[in-house]
Amino acid sequence: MKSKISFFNKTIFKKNVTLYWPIWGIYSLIVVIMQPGLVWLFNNMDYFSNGYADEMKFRDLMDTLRFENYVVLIAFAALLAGMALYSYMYNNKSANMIHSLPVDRTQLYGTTIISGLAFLIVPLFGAALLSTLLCLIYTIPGIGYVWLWFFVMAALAIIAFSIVSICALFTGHIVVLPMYVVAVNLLSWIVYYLISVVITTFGFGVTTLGSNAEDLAGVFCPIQCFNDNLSWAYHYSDTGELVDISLTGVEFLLLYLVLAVVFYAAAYVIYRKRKIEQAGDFLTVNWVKPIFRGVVGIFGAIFGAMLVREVLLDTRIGCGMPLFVCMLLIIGAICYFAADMFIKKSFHVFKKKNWLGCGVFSVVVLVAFFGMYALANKYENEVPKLADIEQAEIQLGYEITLYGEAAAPILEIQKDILAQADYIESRVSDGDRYYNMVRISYQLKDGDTITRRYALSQEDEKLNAIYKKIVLLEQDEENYLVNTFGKNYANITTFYGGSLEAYFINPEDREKEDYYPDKNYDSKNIDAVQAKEIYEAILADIKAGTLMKYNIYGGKYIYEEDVYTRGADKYYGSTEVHIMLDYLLSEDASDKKTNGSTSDKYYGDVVEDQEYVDYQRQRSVYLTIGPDCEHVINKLVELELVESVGHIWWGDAEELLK
Amino acid sequence: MIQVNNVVKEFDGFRALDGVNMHVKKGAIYGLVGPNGAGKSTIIRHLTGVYRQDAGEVMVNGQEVFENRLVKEKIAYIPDELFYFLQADTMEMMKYYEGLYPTFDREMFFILKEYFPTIDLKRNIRRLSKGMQKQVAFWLAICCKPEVLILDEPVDGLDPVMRRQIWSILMAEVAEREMTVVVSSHNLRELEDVCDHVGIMNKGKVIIERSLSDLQGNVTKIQVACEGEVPKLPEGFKVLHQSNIGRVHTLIVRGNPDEAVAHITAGAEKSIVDVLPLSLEEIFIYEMGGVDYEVKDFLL
Repeated sequence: MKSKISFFNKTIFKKNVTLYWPIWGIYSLIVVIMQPGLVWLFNNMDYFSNGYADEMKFRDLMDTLRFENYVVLIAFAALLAGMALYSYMYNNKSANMIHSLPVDRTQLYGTTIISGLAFLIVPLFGAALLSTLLCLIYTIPGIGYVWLWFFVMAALAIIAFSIVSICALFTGHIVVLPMYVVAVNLLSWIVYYLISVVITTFGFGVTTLGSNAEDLAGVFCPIQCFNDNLSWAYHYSDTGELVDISLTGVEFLLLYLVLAVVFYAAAYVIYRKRKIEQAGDFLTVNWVKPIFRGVVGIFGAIFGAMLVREVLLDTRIGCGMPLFVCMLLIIGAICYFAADMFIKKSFHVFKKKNWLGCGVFSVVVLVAFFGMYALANKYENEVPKLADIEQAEIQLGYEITLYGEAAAPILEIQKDILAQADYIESRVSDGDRYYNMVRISYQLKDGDTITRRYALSQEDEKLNAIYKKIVLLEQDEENYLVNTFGKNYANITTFYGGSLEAYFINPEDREKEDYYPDKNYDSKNIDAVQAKEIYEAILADIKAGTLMKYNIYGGKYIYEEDVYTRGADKYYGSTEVHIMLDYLLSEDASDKKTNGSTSDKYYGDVVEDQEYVDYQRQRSVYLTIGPDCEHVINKLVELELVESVGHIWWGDAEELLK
Repeated sequence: MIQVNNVVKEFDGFRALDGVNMHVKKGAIYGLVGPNGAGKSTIIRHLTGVYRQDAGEVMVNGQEVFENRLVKEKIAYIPDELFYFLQADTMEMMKYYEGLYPTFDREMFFILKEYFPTIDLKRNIRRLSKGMQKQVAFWLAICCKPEVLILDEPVDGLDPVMRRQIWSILMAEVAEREMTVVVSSHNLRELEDVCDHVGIMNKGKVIIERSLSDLQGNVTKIQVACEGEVPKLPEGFKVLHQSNIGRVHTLIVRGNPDEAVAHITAGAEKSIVDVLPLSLEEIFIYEMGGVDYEVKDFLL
């Protein structure tokens, strides 16, 4: 007669509880301190003896319920629980003893899972229960959020223990279990970096795989996914009052819960097929062994070969494709055999059959590498369609952002660069160390981002046409105004003041170590009224096109006059005059600085901290002016900040300007 | 009671069991002997449901053992390497076994306490000596009241008094409840005293399986003092070993000893023929010699 199917054995559960109570105890203590402990502490601190408003109590309660505080704790506790509860399988003596007892694997597995989940969830339940009591005692609103927190945490525990369980069944060695758990958590990023390192190395201008690929890697890294996405979202009314709090990241929780069910089922199937004699083996599932060897080999081959390539390039030995492929195969073979040694726990792996396997593996490595190489070429030539672009950015001297159809010039510049890709690459690889980095990035309508970074040689006539196109964009009045004063530059009404500064550098002193002596520097303060008028004059000079050339890098590419040495390389000039203005962006400015997380904003709004709001909008601008800036110079004279147009440079500089 | 039919088991390409056949009757004490690496512990782990065979079947009471909880409830096992939980004392282990074996007899546990006076019930078992740990294993196993008790090197580490005591308890259980015992040991002298059936394993197979009396009656040592050569025995006899010192010839013969003596006496002039009984150890050594297991003469 066959025994009935049962997933639980009371005796084994009791043994699990009593045998590993210290781990349970420490974990429970941490959870209780982190949640109800802190709630109790907040409500008994002297700091609040003068009155502790319900809203503040609620805010502090919600602080103890932040998920990011617990994700790593749960993951670590799940690992410890797994190592304790599955330890009976990792030792021949215990494995033989347990499996000879009148208990089948279904019962053993079911009881282990129940024990592990009880280990993780019961303390959370206790914490939620204690918090509920504290909420009632201290009249803290938000008991519902405590229980929502508990259910989310319980789901996290189920997920974390499923990952540990599947890893536990793949190995027969307790030390290897944490290695597998870490590997599973980081697998998506390891794969991402493997592909990324090939594509960014061999793809001209490619710096990343794009935000979609990064997002995908983040989603499949469980700890990061929950840390980044699982949170409370605070919703405010127009008047800044908190109206609702919702849970974000539920879709990821559900996705991982489904995966957890799959993991538990897969672990059960593996356990049913497991050979008990494999206790102590690093890898127990036979069909995974060749995959493991191959994957470790490919990762090792590519990362290793790339590392050696970098060393060879740094030492100027160079590394062409044939040499790189040789390194790929040699390092790949070493990693392949190393992985085999790991699996077999033996150094005797150089057998004829294994060499045959290594040969097949070498072909796989080549296919994998050249597959990624082809992908690098695809990435390299990837230029989005104009219709797909939400916004595009280009940066040489400063960052220019163009939207939708207006991004066409940036696309054109990228195409020009790609048309000369081989030439541009050859300049850098030939050792030209004087180059400018041009960054182009696109935000696409589907949410993806594409970013490219090109190193353009500084002194190369063949590239002047590209430089000129970029500088012309920088010279654009609107682009320049947005870059200088922000998007809502036209609505600036509040100025705090500023300063006018002048440097004089005697050309004869240039070669001296200290050619900025104090006596050659002077400054004058600008008050708020003056600042506003100077601002208007600056706008007029920008519209007249007379100010940008003193402030834009690369002006030499479009101006006949060599303002280059008076612009970005200004300290090689003789006299410099700068204006600094402090102002406040308009309230509707969308490009005000973001600072802190949602909860920070919540704090700010609750306490109506005006300084906080001002900080978000405060800006300063620092501009260089030159002799062609007629509007500004005239305004400075009119405001009596300088004596006359001819005496704009004062102090020690005065004589020079005559 | 126990039937093992053509069981095959491989470990990473090495065939540890190569078609093992084994049959143990209810109430028998079955000694499993064999050289190191013969597969004794491996077949025992199949009998206890620890290992899954690659081929063949392992049955107890007509049911497969592997993953069969109800069958395993009737089997108690004392392995060669004992395992006790970290920090566990004898009382805790007793409760553990009591929870798993429905037939566990708590009353009997306390009655048997007087047989194990040196065991402190509240002391961590892992801190007990090897011999005392073995005593605890026997104590617990007996209290499970199993129908089948499987022992792998059971008395290793026990002092002679405790060995005798434990065997007497086991014999009493066999007599009272018809408990079946399978015991693997290298101590053939001890097995000879307790076993009624013997299986000899070599290279993953049970090469001989019969009752001890049959085995001892079938293989004999014949000493012949005669002039010249000892006459060749007819077909049906197998000479496992033959040596001589001067005129005294020693033959280890498998076959009917009376017929063998008659044949030698008739064939050799002025001969003195003497038949000596063989111990289990000697039978084992000669049988092993017959299957290429190297036996040096100095053992004789």
